[in-house]
Amino acid sequence: MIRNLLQRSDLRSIFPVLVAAVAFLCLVPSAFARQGAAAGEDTLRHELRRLIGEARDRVFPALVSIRVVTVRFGGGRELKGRSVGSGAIISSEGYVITNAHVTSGGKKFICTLSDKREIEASLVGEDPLTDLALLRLDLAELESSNALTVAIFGDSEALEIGDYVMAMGSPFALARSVSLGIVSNTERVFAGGFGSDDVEEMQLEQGQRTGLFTRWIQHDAVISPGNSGGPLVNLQGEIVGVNELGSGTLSFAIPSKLAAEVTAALIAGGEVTRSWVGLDFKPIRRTGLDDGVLIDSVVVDGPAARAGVEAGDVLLALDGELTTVRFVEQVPLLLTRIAGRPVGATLEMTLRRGDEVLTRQVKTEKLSKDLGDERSFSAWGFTAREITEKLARDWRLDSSRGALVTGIRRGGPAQIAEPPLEAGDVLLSIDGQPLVDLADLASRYEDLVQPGGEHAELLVAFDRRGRNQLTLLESRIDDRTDPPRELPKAWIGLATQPLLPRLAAEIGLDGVSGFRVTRVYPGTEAESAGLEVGDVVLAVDGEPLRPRGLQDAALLARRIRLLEIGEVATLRIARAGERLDVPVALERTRLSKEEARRHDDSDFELSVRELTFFDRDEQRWDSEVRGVLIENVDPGGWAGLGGLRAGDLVLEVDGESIRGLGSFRQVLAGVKREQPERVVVLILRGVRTHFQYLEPDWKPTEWD
Amino acid sequence: MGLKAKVLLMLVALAMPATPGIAANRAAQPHTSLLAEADALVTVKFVLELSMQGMGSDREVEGETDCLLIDGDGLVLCSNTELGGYVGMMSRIGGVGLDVSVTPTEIKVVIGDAIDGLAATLLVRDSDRDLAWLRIDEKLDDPLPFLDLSRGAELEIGDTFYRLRRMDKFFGRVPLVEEGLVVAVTAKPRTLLVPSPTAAAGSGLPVFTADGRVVGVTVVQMPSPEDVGFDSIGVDPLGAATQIQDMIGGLILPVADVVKATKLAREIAAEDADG
Repeated sequence: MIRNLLQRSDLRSIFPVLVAAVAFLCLVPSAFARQGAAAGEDTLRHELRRLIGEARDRVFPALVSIRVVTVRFGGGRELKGRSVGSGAIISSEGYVITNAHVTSGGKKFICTLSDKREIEASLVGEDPLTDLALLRLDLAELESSNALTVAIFGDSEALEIGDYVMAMGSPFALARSVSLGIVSNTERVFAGGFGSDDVEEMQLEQGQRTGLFTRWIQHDAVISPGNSGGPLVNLQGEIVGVNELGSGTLSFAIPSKLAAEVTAALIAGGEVTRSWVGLDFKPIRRTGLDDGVLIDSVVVDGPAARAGVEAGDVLLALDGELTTVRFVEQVPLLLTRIAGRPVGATLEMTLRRGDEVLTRQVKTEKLSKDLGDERSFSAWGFTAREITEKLARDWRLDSSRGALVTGIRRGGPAQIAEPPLEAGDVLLSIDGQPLVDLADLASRYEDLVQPGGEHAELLVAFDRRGRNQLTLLESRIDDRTDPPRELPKAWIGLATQPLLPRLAAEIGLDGVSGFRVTRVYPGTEAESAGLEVGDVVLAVDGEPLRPRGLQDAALLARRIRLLEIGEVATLRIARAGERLDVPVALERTRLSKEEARRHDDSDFELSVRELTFFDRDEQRWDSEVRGVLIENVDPGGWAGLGGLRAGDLVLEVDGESIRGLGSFRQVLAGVKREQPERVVVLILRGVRTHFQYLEPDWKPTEWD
Repeated sequence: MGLKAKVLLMLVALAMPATPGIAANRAAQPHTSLLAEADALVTVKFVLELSMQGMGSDREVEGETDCLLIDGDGLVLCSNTELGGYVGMMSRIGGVGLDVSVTPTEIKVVIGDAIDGLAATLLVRDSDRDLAWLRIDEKLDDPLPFLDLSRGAELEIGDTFYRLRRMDKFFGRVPLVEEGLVVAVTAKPRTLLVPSPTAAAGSGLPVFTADGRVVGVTVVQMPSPEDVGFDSIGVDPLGAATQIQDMIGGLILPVADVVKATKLAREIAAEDADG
């Protein structure tokens, strides 16, 4: 019929009808579809929002922000600092999972809970090889009515690429935050270089490996510094990962399966015990072989080496089970398999060596820590580290006996010893007594260095690149020495500017040069003599002053300094068109900032100095303003944590007025005797006063 | 003759041994007799403790310098600049006044080429004149050799001076006498004799006449806190180099000024000792 119609009808006349019909047939379903899709999108969006909201609500209350007071070492001294991270409460006992790089070097941990309460936590254990750590909240600080909300681990193995995940934490130390993304990769391993078959060796710090057993969850939920240790959450509201590192939308989380295993081990024993055989592996794919894994290197004298395993062998099977590793992503699985065997277990390794197939029995050993403790020996002017087996291997040391010097303080006893100690030296003995390890060195230090005690020179034997050397080391407890005094000279309480001829002419003093008074210091002889701002000093004791430029800005002051203190100098001045002779008694130069006495307080970890005349003048503080000026504050010390800063003027401590350095010392001594929970410091910062609350931890700390 | 040949010839000439006649002439020079004063020229070793607001107070620097024993009881005169005064001075250049203090600690006075030094304390310093006075802490059984500042002399432009110093410890701290010419006398910022550029040297060194009388002590003269307008250093590198050369090139502070300041320093030290 249509055919007939077409045939019979003007095509042009029927064309609009056809177009309309086709459009109807196409558009109507499309419009219906769009309407349906929009409704579907709404439903999806609503559903997604609901899922996200529910998941968020399951984990958010368990989220914590972690502030850490850290002690690190550099330049031969302890350096206190602060760092921040995130974590999640994973048990009603108050365990908090986070990253080891958040807790590393930490001496004090303060967790902010979801309801903004701050609670101290202690370190249960760290596992640097996976960059995981466990803290435990001090539940005694919590009121029993407020039970903890706990987040649970989900199954990271069930994650698929494209799954929605949320990153929770405190980016840049900002309060709790969440970002949404999808899983980009479930088995990310970092290979070194372009298409390399080598797994990149990642380090938390020099000498400390990490990520050996990890296949990261890569996702695009944005994380930033401060997110470290925060949970990666699935839409079921379970922790599927622990965020560790990221840049932009490339974020990486440690899978929850690994995190749960590490957590269980840390709760059980404070450490993760792993087996080790002393082998490095490389995927087989470029060797021309199809099966097995290439043994890339063998640790000298390690368990595998002792069992006769050689670099270049191909490991075909472990305890009869095939071990083919074709890709770098499979390496962590093999390492995990070996590490998971009981320490002391015997592994049967089936190896291919050339055309031969061999079997070797390898007895595993405990995987020891990469890095040992480090500490400062301030009276000797160096820092030293425990020598672990790995460190001994890396440094090619004969044994792990002694302690490794890691830094030398400039000008300290170790540097001025002859010969001086250097970073990298291995301390072998003190006064002929061999050193066992770092703990032994610390024990000797405690015995030999006593405050106020006599400090004889110590005979120290050390190894430097295979050479056994001796030196004499003198202990020195750093006490602040007051800066030397300046020879007093004559002074006049005026600030001036050189008045050069052109400027003088502009103010009606043609042909005159001298020094225009810009300030008369209050309470000085200059003020008593009636000198005024705007006076122009033309001569001193009849000797003209003729500044020739700004280079002569100090000419008047120098001329005065050549006179005697107490002497009366006659200043010839120009004032309102007149010439006057003004006698002024010369005073003694005022205390300069350089000469001001200082006081270091090792408990509050701040240094202050006395206020000088020139501080008052610069800050416009009158003589009623008294106190001590904070010169330096250790950011991780009590004063630093309490918000005190360099440049603050301390006016009061616990309600006691600070009149100067003496009263500051006295008041602080009283505070230390009383040991209050809180010390209130009233400061002047700029034009405002502030009350700062210091909360000293009077318990002896590890670094004391 | 090519340039290379001329240079070689000059080097050979420099390397040629002195003729007997010249040697005899040099024997008559005051170098030998002035070396007798070298016993009073001591080496002071120290550790500087720097304190800067907001930057910490424990950055330490080890150093040593030549100083002068000026009495038999162990009073030692040094250049303040050499004992860390340069830090405060440098912080002021260009009007930038940093809140910095520098304290010499662990001071040891090494007599001659002795291996160990005697502990000493910094009594007082004079930043204007670039002087500092130390006192050896130890009670001495016998008086130490010292330079008698009362045997002073004045020089004028064109006069020859002789300056005593010690070589570095690497060379056994051997004393040596160098000669130079006074090429100017300036009254700003105070009266100072200006040595010929070729005779530039460090600070804190004694300067003599040919007959062994003390002319003065070499010092550094840098801007003081009031020199707020002193801003030319750094603007023109060549000019700045000349300026710095003028400031640190061994300007000679006349002995009369040294004696006057020392008298005051003794009084201040005595005041401090009395509490």
